[in-house]
Order: sequence, then C-alpha cells, then structure tokens
Amino acid sequence: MHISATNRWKIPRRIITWASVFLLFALMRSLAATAQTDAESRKENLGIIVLPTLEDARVVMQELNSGKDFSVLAKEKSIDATAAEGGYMGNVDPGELRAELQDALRGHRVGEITNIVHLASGFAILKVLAVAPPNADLNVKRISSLVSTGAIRIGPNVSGVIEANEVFLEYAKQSGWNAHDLRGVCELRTNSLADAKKSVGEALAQNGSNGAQFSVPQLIEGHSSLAQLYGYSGEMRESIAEWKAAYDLAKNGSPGYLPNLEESLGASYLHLSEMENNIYRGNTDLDIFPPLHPHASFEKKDDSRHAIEYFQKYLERQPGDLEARWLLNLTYMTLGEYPSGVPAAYLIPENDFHSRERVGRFVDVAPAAGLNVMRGAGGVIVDDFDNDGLLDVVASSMDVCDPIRFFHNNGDGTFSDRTKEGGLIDQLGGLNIVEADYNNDGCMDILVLRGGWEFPERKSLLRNNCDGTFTDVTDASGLGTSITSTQTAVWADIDNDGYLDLFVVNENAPAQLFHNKGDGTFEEIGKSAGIDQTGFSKGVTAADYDGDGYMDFYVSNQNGANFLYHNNGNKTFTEVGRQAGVQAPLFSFATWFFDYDNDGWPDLFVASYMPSVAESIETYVGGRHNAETLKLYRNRHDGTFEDVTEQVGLDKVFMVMGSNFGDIDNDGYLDIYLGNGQPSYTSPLPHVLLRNKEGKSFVDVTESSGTGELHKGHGIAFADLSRRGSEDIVAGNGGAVPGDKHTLRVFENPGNSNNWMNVRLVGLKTNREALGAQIKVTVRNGNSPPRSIYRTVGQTSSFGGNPVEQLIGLGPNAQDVALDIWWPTSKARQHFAGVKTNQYIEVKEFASSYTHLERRPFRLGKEPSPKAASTAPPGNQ
Amino acid sequence: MTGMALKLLASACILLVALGGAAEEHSAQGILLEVNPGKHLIVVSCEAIPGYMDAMVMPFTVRGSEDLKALVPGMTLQFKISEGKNEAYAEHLQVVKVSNFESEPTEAGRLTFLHRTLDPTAEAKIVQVGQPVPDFVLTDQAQETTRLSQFKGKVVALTFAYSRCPNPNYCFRLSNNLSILERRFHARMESDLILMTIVIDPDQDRGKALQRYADTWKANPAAWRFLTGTLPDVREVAETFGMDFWSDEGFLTHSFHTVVIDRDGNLAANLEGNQFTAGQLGDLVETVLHRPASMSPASALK
Repeated sequence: MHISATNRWKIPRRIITWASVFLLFALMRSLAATAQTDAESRKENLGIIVLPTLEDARVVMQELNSGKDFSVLAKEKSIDATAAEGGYMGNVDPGELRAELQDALRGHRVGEITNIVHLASGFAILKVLAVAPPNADLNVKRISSLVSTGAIRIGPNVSGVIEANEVFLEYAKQSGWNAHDLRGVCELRTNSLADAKKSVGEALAQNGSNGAQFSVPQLIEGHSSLAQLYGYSGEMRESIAEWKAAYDLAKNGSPGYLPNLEESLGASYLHLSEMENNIYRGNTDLDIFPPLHPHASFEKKDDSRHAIEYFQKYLERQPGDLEARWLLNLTYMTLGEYPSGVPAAYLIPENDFHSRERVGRFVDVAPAAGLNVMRGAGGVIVDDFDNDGLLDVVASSMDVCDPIRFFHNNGDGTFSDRTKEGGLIDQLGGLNIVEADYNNDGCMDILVLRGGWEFPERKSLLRNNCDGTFTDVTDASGLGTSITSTQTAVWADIDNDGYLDLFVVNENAPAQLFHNKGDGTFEEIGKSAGIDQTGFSKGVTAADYDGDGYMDFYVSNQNGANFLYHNNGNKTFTEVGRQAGVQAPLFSFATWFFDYDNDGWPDLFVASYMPSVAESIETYVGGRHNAETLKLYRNRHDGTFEDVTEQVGLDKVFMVMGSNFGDIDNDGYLDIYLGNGQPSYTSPLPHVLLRNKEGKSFVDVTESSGTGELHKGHGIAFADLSRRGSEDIVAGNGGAVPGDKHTLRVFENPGNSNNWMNVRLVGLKTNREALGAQIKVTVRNGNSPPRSIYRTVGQTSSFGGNPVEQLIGLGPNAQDVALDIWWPTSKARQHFAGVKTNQYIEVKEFASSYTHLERRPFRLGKEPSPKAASTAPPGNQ
Repeated sequence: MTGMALKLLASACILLVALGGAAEEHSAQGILLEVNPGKHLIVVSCEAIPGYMDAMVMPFTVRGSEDLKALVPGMTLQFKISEGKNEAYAEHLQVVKVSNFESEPTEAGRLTFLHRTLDPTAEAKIVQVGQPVPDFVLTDQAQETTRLSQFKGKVVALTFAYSRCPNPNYCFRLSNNLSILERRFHARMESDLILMTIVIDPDQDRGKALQRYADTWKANPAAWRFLTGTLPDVREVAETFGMDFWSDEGFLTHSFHTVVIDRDGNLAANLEGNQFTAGQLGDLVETVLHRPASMSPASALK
C-alpha cells in the first residue's frame, strides 16, 4: 500500500496516522508469519481409513489401487470416527502424529497412499489428500432464503388440492380406513367434499342472520375456500362465482387480497375455457406450445376474454410478474392471437421457444390407437404383460376413485381396454406404478403406489397370473402391513440371490427395504440394512454405480439432501451422497441412472422441482433464474460423480414431475422427455424434449418435434409400440385434482433411417426379467472406428416405466455389430459377433446362441378401432 | 399504571411538547399492550412514523364512541394520532385482522376457515385472553419432559416453527423474535421469563434434529425450550392458541401465532401474523413482566 497525501485528495491526518500503524502492524505480522511458515508448510490434508482386520485392509488397498475414491471408501468401510467425514483427519502436521503414522507418511506426496499400518484400533491406510473432501452438507439455508427474499416467486395454488386434503382430514373415519378398502377411500373423498361444500356454503349464507359472525377477512377466506373446493372438482362456474364474491368483498375494504384473487380468477377462467372447449378430453393440438397452428383458436372465447381481463388487472399492479405474463400469453393463444395480440409490454416472444434442431414432428396418435384415456396425475408403464411380443400400456391416476387402466396391444395399431377382464377394475388411485417380475414366473407384475402428496394409503402388489389377469397379493406377500404415503419404489436384487427385492421410499416415514424371500413373500429389513432414513422422498432409482457387482440406490428428496446408498454386499448400505457429490438439488423429483455418454458406467439424472412458474419461464426468456437447475452427474468411475449439468447445457429450470429417457433418433445416445407442471391451475408449462448429442450436450427440440404439451406431465415411457424399431413417447397427463384430468398422449415417432436392434433377456440364475444385466453393443458406423453403446436392463425413470426389452439405436450404416452381455447373479458373460441389425432377438442366460424373434411392424392408429377408449372409466362415474 | 408506562408517558409528553402541540393528525399502527375500556385508555407499541416519531410505546386516550371492550392486548391496531395539550389522542381505531397477503398465509386463512367450519369444537378450544391456558406436556431438546404448569409464577413467550420451513420470514423470523427477547431480558431469563418454540413437524424434528434446530439460536434449554411430542399432542397444544398447520407438498402450511402467558398461567396475548417487530413483542412481554401475579389484564391500568 502506497500512501501519499496529494492536494487533490485531502486525506485527514488521522487516517494517515492509522494507516501507518496498520502498515507497521502488517509488517510485524508478516515477520511473525515467517516464523510460523515452517510449521504451516509441514501441514497436510490427511485422510485415514481404519479396518478391523488385515484382510479387510488388503481388500480396501486393492480398491484404492484400482482407482476408487478414498473418501467414499472411508465413509463406507472405515471404523474410525472420521468415517463420517470421508476419513478426513484435518490439515495437520504429520510430526504431531503417533510415531507409526509418522513413519508411514514419511516421503509421501500429495495423492499418495501409505502402506497398511497396524494400530491398536485396527489396520490403517493413510492418504495425503490434494484438498479436503467436501465436509458440509448441501446448504439448505442458502437455497431456502431465495424463497423468502422473493428471489423465487411462488404464486398462489389455485386447484383446491390442499383444501380438499384438509376437508378429508377433518372427515370422520374408522380406524384402518386406509389399509384395505380402496372403494371406501373413494367414498370418503367424495362424501367429505360434498359435506364440506354444503357446510361452508351454509355457514356463509347464514352469516349475519344470528348477529355478525364473520369478519370481512373471514368472509373472503370462506368464499375463497369454497372456490377452491369447487375448483378441485372442476366445477369452474361455481368456483368462479365464489372467487368473485371474495373479490367484491376485497374491493370494499381489504385490498391486500386483490392481487391473489385476480390471478385466481384469471387462472380459473382459463381453466374453464379449456374445459368448455374440450381441450383436455379432445386430444387437440390446441394445448401444445409453441402453437402448432398459429391462428387456430378455441371455439368459445368468452371465458378466455374474462381471463385476460383479470390477468391484465393483476399486471397493472405488478407488470413484471412473469407468471401472470406467461398466463396472459397463453390465454391469447387460446384466442388465436398469440403472439400478435399480446400487449407489447407483456409479450413473451415465441422465438424464445424456437428449436435450433429438427428431429421430425411427433404426432399424438392416442385417439386413433384407443389410448386417449382421461387420467389425473399418475404413473405410466409400458411392457409386454401377456408375452405376445407386443408392448401393452398401463396407466394409473391419483384420483382415489379412478381405477388403474390396462390396455392390451392388439398388434394392428389399436389397443383394447382390458381393465375389467384383467381383474383390475377395483384398483383405485395410485400416483405411480412400477413393473417387475418379482416371482420369476416370466410374467411382469405391477406394484401400485398410493398416498403421495396426500395421506398414507395401502400399496397393491398385483401378481400377473400369465393369463391376462392379475391378483392382488399385497397382504399375502407381506407388503400390506405398512401403510405409508409413497409415490416411488424400485426393484433390485440387492443380494444377487436371483429374486428382485423392493425398496420403497416414503413421505415423512422411514424408507422400507423388502427382501424377497423367493416364496412370494417379503421381509422388511430397512432398519438392519441401515437404509431406513426418513425424508420427504420423491424418487428412487437403482444401479451398480461403482461396479462392485451389487445394486446401489439413489433417493431424491423434496426439501432435503438426496441420498446415495452404497450396497456393502452384505445386505447393509452406507449413505455416501456427500462424499460422492450427488446431494443436490435440495428440491428434487424424478431421478434415474442411465449411461448418457456410453462410457459403460451409470450416470445420474435428477430433476429439480420448485413450484415457481416464473423460474421456469426465466429459462426461456434468458433471464436469471434463482431456483436450482436440473442435475446431471457423470460417473467418475471411482465411486464419485462429476456435476456436468452446465457443461452439457442442462443448467435449466423446469418444473419437472414425470419424465424419462429413451433414444428418439436411434443414434445410440439416450434423449430425455420432461413432463412439467404442478397442481395449480396457474402452471401450464410446455413439456420438454431434449436430444442427446453424442453424450456431449442436450439440445431442446420441443418446438420442432411438436411435443410441448402444456398440461401437467406425469408418468412417461419410451417404447417401441408399433414394432418399427423406433421409440414412441407415451406421456401421462393430468393434474393432482379431479378437475384437472387430461387424456394420455402417444407421440408417434416420425422414424429415421438409423439402424437398431431390440434385445430381450431371459435370466435363469439371474432374476428372470434380467434386471441389472448389462448389455454392450459394439458397432462401426460406415467407415468410422468401432464404438460401444451400453444399456442396463430395468433402468428407467422413477416416474415412468420403460419396458425391460432394450431397443438400442445403432446409428447409420451399422456394421460389424457385436453384442456382449453380463449377468449379475451368475457373473456369466456372453459374446455374440456379427449380429444382424434391425431385428428382435432374445438371449437366455448361459445360452451359446440367441433367438431371432418374429415381429410384424404396423402403424399406430392405422386402422382405428370402431370406438376409441371411452373417456369415462368403465363401471365408474 | 405500571412504572414503565408512566415513564413512557413522560417521554411521549416531552415529544408532544417539543412539537408544540400543533393540531396534526398522523396515521399510526401498533400492537396493543394494555387497554382500560372504562377510562378509554390504551397503551400501544407504535411503529415508527417517518418524519414524526420513532417506534415507541405510547399511551393514548381514545376519542370517539369506540367500544374498547372487544380489544385485547396483542391485537394490531390502526388509528389516527391527534395531539392535545398534554396528551395524545387516538381516533378511528381499527383492528387489523390480516396483515400478510402472501400466498401461504392466505392459504392458511382459507384452511383455518374450513377447519373451524367443519369442526365446530375447534373454535371453543381456543383460549381467550385473560383465560387460563390448559396445561400441556411436551418434550424439549434435551429430552426433558416439560409441563407448562412448572413455570407458574413466570412469564412465558411462545411461538411455533419447524426446521424445514423454507421461508425464513415465517418460522425463522418468529423464533428469532424470541432470540431477541432473550437478549433484551437477559437478566430475567429462566428466573422470570421462559421462551418456548413448539415444533410442529415431529416426524422430522425429534431427537438430535430437534437439538440441532435449537442450536440455530444456541438456545439454553433451561430458558428456551424447543418442544415437541406426538403429532396429536402438538396439534392439541397448537389448537389451544388457534394455531393450525397442514401438510402441503412436503412443507407445512401454517398460521402464525406468538403467545404470551402471564405469571398466573393466563393468556396475556396472542399475536397473529409475522408483521410485528421483535421490539413490539418485547414491549408486550415487558408489560406482562411488570404485572404482579394474580392481577387480571383488565385491571392493569386501574
């Protein structure tokens, strides 16, 4: 620091004096520091792993030498107190350590590992670490504060979902109401709603008759709560009348309520407009964004005009509000006046949604195929449930009065609703469904998960009887004893005994690990396995991420760090999320393992979920978003992951619910489709199709593919429905409330000229559906050098069920195709060279050859069935 | 009249004298500390009025025909200040029922309405100011069983929170108010004043998690109890104070209540919302601390 008083800047003498003192002090300090430097310079970041036996220590030494991450191994295996911190001892001077450790460390440089040291407590291995391992969990406070400071705007929830749950909670119930009787839960829901509408209506009507009962704020809250209950059921006219009553009261004396009421009225009118114009049932193109037909409009326009009126009133107060602006733009679209008619100050330009690449137009063929079933939020699974070589479709709906729906693939472009024949008509509700052959009989069974976002309710395990029917074996199997709120579970053979075990994660209840005993029953071992942590869990997925031969689990949580459970190989697990670097996002939803870059190691995708429309729109308009982005973690092959989100262009905020992956263009790289939204009627957002460009980046091809469905997105599956060797996208739509249902969409793949193969595996020693079996295809494209494509059977999103058969895109002019398979239970390997492309094959474990399967291609909806799927479920409504 | 109020009256007079008694009128808002309907007197912890006065405790004579019987300490009042020769008058009194119009409190308002309409017993469970607070038993951060009745003879200030509460303006702010009380009344903590945060998410905030949450404020368990129990137990205590909470997408939607209980175990005040300041809450606590035991709030100004 150089100080000279000049004439231009008169620096008071006092400051100069203090500056001199400061300089002197700094000088003294630096002299003192020199004396300390030697001790400081000797300090090193040291890590330690202590094992109970020499044998254990040797195993760990081998793992370290093969490149496994030190801190992950310390967390998993060390018996030292530092295990929780990834073995980190601190920044210490080795000279202060006990003699045998000093000796062991002598001469070791950064990155080097000592020999095994015998201590009183066990057998230690030390490492000089380049940097301290991450020692803090995800910073919850920092992210939370974004909400409170208004940096993340969370708008009103106009759907009645919370009010209806409150009403349900208040309603008298008998004990055990949620354990068996699904029909009874439907009745409770129906009756509690009717009862509440009546009671609230009467209370408001009687106000004043026995003296003034309610204050103005109470009356506003009363009418608003009734508006929400009507909105929940989709009675939008009644709902709007109540919102208006509240609005009139607020105008005369409680203006603080006005902005929320204006937005609620706008959103309710928009929803009414869509219902009146049959947008949800009709599978029209009119709720796809950007608009497919620029000037197409709704037939009845009055309600949209009312919506615009209220959104504009709101925007006059808060012109910058991106949520209201977005809703205004969408409403103009319903009039065929987007973008031209939108007031310039509020316009969100269409160009912001433009795709820079084309993958062909995907067209919704659900009505022609007979798959246009109305669903609320729910799961979608696609698989061959009747072993006829064709993929069937099953879709659930969280409406506790909606049965699951089972659609049999007729092989001619149409599907038949076999819900009743299959014995599934009484399977009501279910936010998610998961398929697996848990009893190794060669027929895929179904697990229905219930209670997510709502209240604890029974699950259902539906055994496939291999004759087109299913039997509810929940109680007989031992899964009926625990009643939780859950929307996610994953099957995996945790101990390689050839039977699939089940890991269920819950909302605010301990996670449960059900070990499959092989006789059709399960034993819950979550506690002894060390995997029974409580979170508000939204997704779970499984993979052997570290290649040690055992399936590990990843759990995504809403409002908490995510968990990575390493399978220790002895039916116990260690949570290593922090050490492995995969705790974020704080607000997570759907998740999956997939090998996006074809390096042979499972990578990890986690969707972020923050119910803020504004944050999602910022992603398009190029503003600054404050919410957490999606996360893509690349496997580093050492037990840890690298956050490559930004590098691959996924540092975006979407309000992701259902989502999944598949290869839309058969280039061998897995693409992603995101279903977006949240319960509120204020949150129609386009779904997003992201094309994977050779494992290097993901580009948004939503607009060019025509897949920007605006309605709430739930279970999604990629599946070769028409046996043409290309994957269509089956997308469950529909919101969390009965008034917000939408038909299933089936976006037919426009096809491409790339080669492919479709591989179906049959396990003999390994579980029958071959879940966890690894497939490697080596191929040359034209004259290019050979490349490998990797798939693991059973990998799918936590919110969407792809079939277990593997359709593998091979790229153009595929030649010299070789197929390698590794089976997890037997560790058997198979190698097949010179495999012909564009064919369906079946490979049995241990077999020396594979079988070609005869499949006949067809076009979806080519011969429309005489009657499309009825929009009302059979035997209901 | 309490000593503090007298002292503050004096300072308020000085302020008014300094202003020369000009017949100005100012819109004011504050938390009601004391009320004497017979004498038309109120004491209010006023918010600052820019260019006119700092935030302070002031006594007022209420002019007009307002019936003060419906007023209880802890309410938020809006009124006009007009100055007389030697005293300040309050006119056009209005009770502010709702002061936060964000989505979540609005949602909580609707849910509260539904709850009280569908469960007619709910309203009757709510303790009114001046009434005895029913005893409750919960467990604190040191795993100690804690009863409200064990603090008889001391003043208790109490609020509600949960650790995953995403909005620091809600749970954090309300508990942080208690932390500011702890500093203001440092010498009287434990012996004279007890703080409580009742944690409404017992599934998550129990055992070590509860301890960690209490550590956010380095709460001394002897003076500041973080309390929880089974969900029905917590709900029952909360309902006593008209406090409700609902599960909502992994969070809790909840109303906001901060409660002061006097030395006799009677409810001294129940503040709704989150818009009041820690200073105002402190003024209220100080008023209650000054009341000797066995003295009803209505008699405080006699």
